[in-house]
Amino acid sequence: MKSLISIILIGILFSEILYSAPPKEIYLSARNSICLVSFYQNMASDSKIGSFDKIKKYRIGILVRPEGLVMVSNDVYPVSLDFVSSGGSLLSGIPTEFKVKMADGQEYPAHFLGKDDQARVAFIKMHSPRDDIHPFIEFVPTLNVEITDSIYTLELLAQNYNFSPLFTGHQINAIVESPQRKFLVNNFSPALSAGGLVLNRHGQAIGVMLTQAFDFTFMQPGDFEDFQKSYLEIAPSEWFMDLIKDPPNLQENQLSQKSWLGIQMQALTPELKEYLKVPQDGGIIINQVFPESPAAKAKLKIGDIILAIDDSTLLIKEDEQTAQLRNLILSYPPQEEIQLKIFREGKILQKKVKLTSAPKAIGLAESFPVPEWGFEIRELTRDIVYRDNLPLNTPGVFVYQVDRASPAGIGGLQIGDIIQEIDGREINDFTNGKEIISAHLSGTRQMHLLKVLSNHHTRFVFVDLRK
Amino acid sequence: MKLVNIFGIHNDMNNHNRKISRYIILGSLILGIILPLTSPAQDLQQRILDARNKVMPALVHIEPVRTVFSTGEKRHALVTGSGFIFSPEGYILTNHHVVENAEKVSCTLYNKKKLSAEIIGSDPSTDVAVIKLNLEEMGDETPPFVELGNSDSLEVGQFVLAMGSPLGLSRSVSMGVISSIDRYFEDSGMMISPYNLWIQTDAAINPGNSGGPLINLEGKVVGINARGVFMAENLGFAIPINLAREVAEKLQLGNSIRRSWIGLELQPVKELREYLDQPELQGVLIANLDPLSPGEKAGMKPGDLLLSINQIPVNANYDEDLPAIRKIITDLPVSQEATLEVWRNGKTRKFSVQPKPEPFIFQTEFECEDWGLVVKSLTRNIFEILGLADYDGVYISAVKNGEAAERAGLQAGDIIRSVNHTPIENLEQFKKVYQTLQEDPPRFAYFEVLRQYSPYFAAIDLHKVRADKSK
Repeated sequence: MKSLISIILIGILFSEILYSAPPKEIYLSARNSICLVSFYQNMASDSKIGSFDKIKKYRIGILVRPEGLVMVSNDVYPVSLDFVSSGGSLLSGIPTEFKVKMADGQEYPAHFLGKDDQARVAFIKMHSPRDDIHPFIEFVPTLNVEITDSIYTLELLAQNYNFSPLFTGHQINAIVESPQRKFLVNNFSPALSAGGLVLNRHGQAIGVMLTQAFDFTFMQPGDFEDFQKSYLEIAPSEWFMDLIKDPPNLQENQLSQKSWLGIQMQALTPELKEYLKVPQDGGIIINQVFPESPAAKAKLKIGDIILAIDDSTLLIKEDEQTAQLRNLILSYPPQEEIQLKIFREGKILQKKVKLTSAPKAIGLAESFPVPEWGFEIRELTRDIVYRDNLPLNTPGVFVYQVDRASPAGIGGLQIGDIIQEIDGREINDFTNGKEIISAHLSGTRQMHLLKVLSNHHTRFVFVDLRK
Repeated sequence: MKLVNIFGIHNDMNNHNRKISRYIILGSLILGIILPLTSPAQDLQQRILDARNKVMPALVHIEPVRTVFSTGEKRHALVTGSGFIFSPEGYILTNHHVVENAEKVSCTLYNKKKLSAEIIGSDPSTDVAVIKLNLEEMGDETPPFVELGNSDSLEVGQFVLAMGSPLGLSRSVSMGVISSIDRYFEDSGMMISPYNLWIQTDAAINPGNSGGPLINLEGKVVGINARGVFMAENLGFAIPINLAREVAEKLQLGNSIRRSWIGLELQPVKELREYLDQPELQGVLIANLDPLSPGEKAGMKPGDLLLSINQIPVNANYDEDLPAIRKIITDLPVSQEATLEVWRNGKTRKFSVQPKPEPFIFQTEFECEDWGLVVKSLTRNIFEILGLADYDGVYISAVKNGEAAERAGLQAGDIIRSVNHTPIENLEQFKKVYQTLQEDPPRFAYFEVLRQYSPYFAAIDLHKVRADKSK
């Protein structure tokens, strides 16, 4: 009897291992959770301050929760949200007028919730009747995914094919572990865009398809070879599974907090190791400590060499590998206390550092459009202060947008200028700047004198409202 | 000699006067007969030909062999340009951009003779360069030379000829009028011509006659052709000869021009006048003070209105007025305190400022061959783009792929601030440090460079470099 049970059990186990769902079944069951997302990308218009040029776009959406949570590529909103993310720098407003078209043709309005540039996903929420339950995809962990595994991709074709679904069988041809784990499929050309669903042979969702980030700068050796690639990059479910449970919400200011140490770094090359007599092959040399960052508070210094963080020894010998440390820091929750092993002037030190979340980026800063003068100002956020190496207490407001045909534009105001004085009154911060400008807007003065700072140079801009 | 007789002048100094008188007699005879019969058009044609004939023999075709570093690799590029002899000693005026980074210069004269020339001096700020023919190669002949005119008396609408020598033996002439005598190119960080206005002409100026003379109908040089505008028609620009003459005189004395510096960046006063509703306001607005500059040390501030320099009143209504004021400042004697009067908050104040030599000197690039590294001295352009806080260091203009510097992580665009803990102030000093390390190399050369406001550290294993080289 016992042996019979074990045989049955083994049989079930075997069938589980060997079982591959028929592709048609996989397609049909996943199809209903793939939707077409249309929206308007709002590019800041340089002809009218405070207004946007709308561009209609389409993306593939994946329903990830029954109440109508849809996951799309993060490129729906190409703006950096914090100091450690590179989400792009296009002047863009939050995307609007989302519509989600389901496989059955039913269409629902939706709104933008938030995005995460590390996970490269964004979330939108459908406005469907409260009791509606939508067919959704559940992602599974991918630890046992291997090269040679058969997979399926489900995408939507472009507009001239009526966004019809495209189902393709592939094989995983490569798995890249660093700087982030990714699966690659060879010889691939994408259909509509990023965001397609990736399923294993059992029909379980294991990841999403990424857009290829084309970088034409060819800064690094080998960039040109990379440019010629035609791989499908797949983000494994681990990148975003936690976000599906607790999606970022821009309106409620619940953004995914990114842990931040506050340094710039380079690798400890073998030559530097020998010259500086460092007792370890590889490490991270700190070459900038941002003021008031966790690193600055822990009194880390330029020239310090980080040998290890907690139990992870840093064996980094090339600048290309420094992303490892960045990812390590990002893997900690913000507010976590970490232990750094530091080499400084021949001695080993242990430093405890309490991480914080990365400063928010200018793209998220509060804005104040001044269409009468022809510009939009924003808070001078830390990312700009750090980027331009300005003193922390630099007074002023950041010029985010300029209408070239406006009084300010004609006067020569430029995007990126920092306005420090208006008519002789110093602007300390954003609130103060708004007050001063508002007071002027109701005044009768026809000409204003702006003292601006740009690239460490001051100059004067005359805004003549009669122009 | 036939050619000489046709052109008739300056070619043979001994026969000079006799020839002139012969021409005058001949000329008056011809004129006496023809003049009553000629139309104004024929008269103009004759004047053009006469002017051409006066200058043509002094035109020089210049072929500099230029050293360029493309991705750190040393290459020689052959470029061409024009120039003109302006003295019997064989001095030639041309553009800085024609002979920039040239190691050797060869010149083809009107008589097909090819002579070598040495670079006497070159000034990027005005795009003027002086080179000198090696006259020994010419034998007993004295070179023909041009007469320099007066560019201050030019008038808009006046006829001019742009001459050049685009190819070895060919000479070209194009005609036009002076379109403008006060063209200003906005200082867009490049500071292409901070000290002068340009002569604009519709006579065709192209790469071939760049460096050649712009002449009036008396055959006198009034400008040096400097640049045309790509894809634009009838826009040529020339450097006024009065400025070129002054620069040339300084270049003939020393190798480069060191201007005086007090560190002011200027803006016209016109809008401030409207803003303050004070139409009588004169002066020039100080927009910015260079860090660590004499002006900053003296206590001058952005927003001050500069009224006079050593009691010479200054006034800039428009951008076009700025070069002349910049020039007054750069011509101040370095050793003497200057008095600058400014207007601040309704009151006038005087500042005593001791000008310094400007912190930027033009020098040719320097190649550290063993390290695969090319450096040059800082320029104002580099200083402004990188937002530097001081004037120390040398700029890495190229690194050679696969060589020590590149492997150590150094990049083009970095500023070397110290080598083996010796602070690097300028190119001269860097060369000495490099030399010392070459003669007696320690194990490592350790660099501290500045990259986007942050330090970057790099070490080159000099013993390994030496071992690799001796292989």
